[in-house]
Amino acid sequence: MILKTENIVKQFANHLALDNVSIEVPQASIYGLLGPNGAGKTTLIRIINQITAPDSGKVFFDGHELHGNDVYSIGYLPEERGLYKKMKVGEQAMYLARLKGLSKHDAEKSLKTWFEKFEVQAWWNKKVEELSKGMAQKIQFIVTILHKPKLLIFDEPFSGFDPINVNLLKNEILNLKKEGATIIFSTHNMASVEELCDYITLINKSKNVLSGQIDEIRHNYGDNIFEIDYRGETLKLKENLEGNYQILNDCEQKFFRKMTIKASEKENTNVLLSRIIRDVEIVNFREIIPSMNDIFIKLVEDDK
Amino acid sequence: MKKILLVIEREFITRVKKKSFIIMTILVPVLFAVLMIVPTLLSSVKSEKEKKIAVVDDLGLVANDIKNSGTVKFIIETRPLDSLKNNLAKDDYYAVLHVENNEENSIKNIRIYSEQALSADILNNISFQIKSIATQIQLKAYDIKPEELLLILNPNINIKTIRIDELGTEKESHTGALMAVAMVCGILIFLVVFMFGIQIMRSVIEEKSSRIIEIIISSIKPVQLMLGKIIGVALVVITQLIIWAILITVIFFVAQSQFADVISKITGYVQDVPMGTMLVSFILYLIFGYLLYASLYAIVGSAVDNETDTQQLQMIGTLPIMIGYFIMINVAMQPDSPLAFWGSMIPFTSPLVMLARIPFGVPLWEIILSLTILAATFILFTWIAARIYRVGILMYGKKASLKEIIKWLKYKQ
Repeated sequence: MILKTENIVKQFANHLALDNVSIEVPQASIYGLLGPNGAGKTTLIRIINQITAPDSGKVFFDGHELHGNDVYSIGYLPEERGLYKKMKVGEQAMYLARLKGLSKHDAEKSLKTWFEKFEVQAWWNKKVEELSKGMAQKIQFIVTILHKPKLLIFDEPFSGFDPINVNLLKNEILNLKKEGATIIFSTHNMASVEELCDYITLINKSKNVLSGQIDEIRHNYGDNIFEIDYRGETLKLKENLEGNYQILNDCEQKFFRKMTIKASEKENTNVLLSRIIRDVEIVNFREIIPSMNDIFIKLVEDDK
Repeated sequence: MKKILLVIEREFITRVKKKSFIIMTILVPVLFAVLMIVPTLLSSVKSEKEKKIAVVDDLGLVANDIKNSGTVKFIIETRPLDSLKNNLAKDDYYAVLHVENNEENSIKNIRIYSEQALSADILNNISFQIKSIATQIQLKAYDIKPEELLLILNPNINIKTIRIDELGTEKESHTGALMAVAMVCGILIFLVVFMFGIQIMRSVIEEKSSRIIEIIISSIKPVQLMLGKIIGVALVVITQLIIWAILITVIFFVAQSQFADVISKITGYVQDVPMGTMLVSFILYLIFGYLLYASLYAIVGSAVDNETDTQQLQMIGTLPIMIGYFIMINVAMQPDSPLAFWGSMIPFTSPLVMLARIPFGVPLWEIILSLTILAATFILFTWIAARIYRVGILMYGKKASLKEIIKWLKYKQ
C-alpha cells in the first residue's frame, strides 16, 4: 500500500465533509476516486496533499505517517487550476518545479525534455495569458509529473482537452503507471474510469460507500443477466431453463436468435451452459456486467 | 526555508521587472530634480531683447531717479505724449510711461501705454521704482532719514527657541524645521505602507483568481507563501528607496552650486534633530509598520475573490492608517498632547505618530515600549493572518463576512 487513510473525519463550519473515510491505494495502480459533486472527494485529496488537516484520522504514505517532506513525492493536479497570467511559461514551470524540490539544473533539463515530448517548446518564452486553455493544461500536467512523484493525484485531468490530447494524456498516465507510479484519479467520466482504473472508491455524502477492484465490483453488481445467441428450438431451450431462470427477452436475429435471461440467484455459469447446450447450438454467450456509470447512478440514487 | 527564498525571489523579480516599477524608480528622482532645478533655471533665463520705455515726466520728479534694470531701458523723452503714443513701433519703443501732472504736484497718476499687454515683470519693476521714489520724496518732506524709518517699522527683536535636554545642555531649536522633518518621515511611511500593502493584497487575489493557489500550496505551506510574499515585496520597497536615495543624492551633488544656500540652511536647521535616533526609529517603524499592515492586507486579499469585492474589507487596512495620518498632522502641532502619546503607543498608528514626535524629543523608554508593542502586534497578526489566509485562499465563489473570517481562525491545521 502506497497510501492508506484511516477513519478520516473533517468537519467544516456547517457540514461534515468526510465521515470516517478509509481507503487503501495499492502501489503502481490507478485508483479512481468517484462521487457526486460535493461528496467530499476534493477535501480528501486536499488532506492527502496536506493542504488541510483532518479533524481526526490518520494518513499513511509509503509506510509512514504522512509528514511535510512527502510533498516532494506527491504530484497534484487540482481541478481548479491555473497559472500566473503575466509570467512566462518557462519561468513559471521552473518556479513550480523548484518548489517541488528540483534543483535549477534538473528542473531545466527535464522541463526541456517534456516540452519537446508535448511539442510545446515554442511556448517557453510566451506569457501564460497568450496560451489557450488546452495549452495551459498541458503545461500544468508537465509540471505535476516533472519531479517523478511516487503518487500522482489528478482531479478531472481531461477537462479542457480535445480528444487527441486526451489520448496523449491517457498514454502518459499509463506510462507513469508502468514506471511504478501510483495514480489517484478523480473524475466524473465513467468511461475513462473503466478504461484506466484498477481500483475505485465511491464517496457519497461524505462516506466511503464502495471500495475495491473495479472488475470485481462490476461483477458483484451484476444482476445475473445473461445473453445467449443460439440456433435451434426456442421451446426446448425455454423448457430447460424453467424454474431457476426468468426469460426477459427472445428475438429473431439475422442468423440466430438472441435470448436474455435473468437467474434468480448467483449461479455457476457452467451449470447454466450445460443446461443450454443440450438442445441448441450456442453462437455467443455472455454475462451482462453493469457499467460503472450504472453502478454510480444506482448507488447514489438509492442513497437519497 | 529554501522554499520561502524561492517565493521571495519570484515576488521580487516579477515586480522589479515590471515597467511600472522601472518607470516609478526613475521618474520620482527626475521629477524631484525638475521641481528643484527648473524654478532656479527659469528665473535666470530672461528675454534677451532690450526693451526701451519712453518716459514723459510732467512733474520732473521721476525722470532723474528711474534706473535701467536688466534689459529694460528708460529713455527720457521731451516730445509730446501723443506723437510718442502713435509712433511706438516706429520709434522702437516697448511702452510709454507717463507721469501725469496734478494740482498737488505729487506723483499720483501714472499711465503706461503699450501695444502689447505689458509684461508683469516690467509692471512690477516700474511700480516698485516709482513707489520708492515717491517714498523718498515724502521722507524728505518730513525730514526723516530712511534708516530711521526702517528701525521704526522693523524693530530689531531676536526670538530664539532653546531646548534644554536631560544633561542640561541648551540647544537652539527650529520648530518649523522639526515639523517638516516629522511630516516627511511620517508621509514616507504612510505611502510605503499604503502602496505596498495594497500590492500584497493584489498579489494574493491574483493567485486566487488565476487559480494557481492550489497548485502552489500543494508544495508549500500557506504561511511560507504569505511570508515569502511579504518579504519579497518588502525587498522591492527597500530596493526602490535605496535607488531613490542614491539618485537624489547624486542630483544634489551635481546641482550643488545651485543649492549651496538651501543645503547649508537645511543642515543648519536640522542639526538639532536627534539624527541617530531618528534614522534608527525610522527604519524600525518602517519595517514593523509595513509588516503589520502587510499581514492585514494579506487577510483582506485571502477573504475575497476579485478586486471589486475588496472595497469594504479594505477599510480594515485603510482606516487605521488614515487615522494615524491625521493624528500625525495634529502631533506635529502639539507633540505633547495625550493624543500624541496614545497615538504613538497604539500599534496601528504608532509608526506614523511616533516618528512625528521624535524630532521634538521623546524619552527613550517610550520609543522602546512603542516598538515592543508594535513588534508583538505584528507577530500576533502574522499568526492570525496565516490562519485566516490558509483557509481563505481556498474559498471561492462568495465574499466572506467578517464573522466567517473569525470562524476560519478556529479551523484545525
